[in-house]
Amino acid sequence: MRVHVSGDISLGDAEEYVAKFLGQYRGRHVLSVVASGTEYSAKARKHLLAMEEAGPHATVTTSALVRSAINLMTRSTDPSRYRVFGNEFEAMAWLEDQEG
Amino acid sequence: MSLTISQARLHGLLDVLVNAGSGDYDVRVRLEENEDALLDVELGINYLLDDLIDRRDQNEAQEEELLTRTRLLARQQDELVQALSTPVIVAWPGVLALPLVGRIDDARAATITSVLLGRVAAERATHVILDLTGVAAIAGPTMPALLRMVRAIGLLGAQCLLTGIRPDVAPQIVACGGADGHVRALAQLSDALALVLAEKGALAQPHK
Repeated sequence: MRVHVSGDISLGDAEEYVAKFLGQYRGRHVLSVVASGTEYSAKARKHLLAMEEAGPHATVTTSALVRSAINLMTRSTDPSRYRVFGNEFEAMAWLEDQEG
Repeated sequence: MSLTISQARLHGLLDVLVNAGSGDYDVRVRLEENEDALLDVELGINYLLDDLIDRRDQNEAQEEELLTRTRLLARQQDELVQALSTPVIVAWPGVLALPLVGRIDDARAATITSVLLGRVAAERATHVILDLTGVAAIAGPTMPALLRMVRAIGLLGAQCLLTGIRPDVAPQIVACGGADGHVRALAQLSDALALVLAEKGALAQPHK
């Protein structure tokens, strides 16, 4: 699955995201491209902690701020399930490794 | 790992921490796209402040809810106490009985007077029996208030009878001039009821 994320992420957005990836797309490998300037509300951040139970997630961003935000949100999660990359090539390679 | 931090960033962080320490969670770390590990710390502090504001808001909402519930309970309790302290009974059409229990202070005497006079008017009562059997004590200035109520009942065209006067209460009534003729006293509530019903022709006149 490839997902594009941008703008201000509200609790509603987070709920929809979690519902999809713990529901119909459960276990799928996800390539999440997060745009620079994306911000997560406090409630959204808490809700996204539930993504720990989803399939492997590779986040691609060129923004140091977004990378920090993802790092903080995934700090307590299993590092083999979630990783941040600077480009899609590396992210895809990591996801393929997860499949392998 | 070594990290070079500019003086400005360090000052910015300290300012935010000092403000948060004094309860101001709105001052945030100014974030820039710095490719270093301190950015995680700066963002983490902002996230922590978000959480603190969220919890403060929740606490304030809970406090407000508790306060509202407490006020509601207090009002309900007041209403209940008031209802229980003035249990006016229609013993017979036109005959009201009010058994009084416990200590009667000024505030309670005022409530009793207000409720009872309202009921006398509403029921077009001809007789009111005030039973003092359960009255343990009457506060000093309250006896005159009760006797004024007896007179007020008379002005509404009803006759007031006192029953169950305890030995320690009787001198109070005398001292207040309550035994001067406008207060009719009987030993028990049943005596008063029998007398009233006899006066109304509903019962044979009891022996006096």
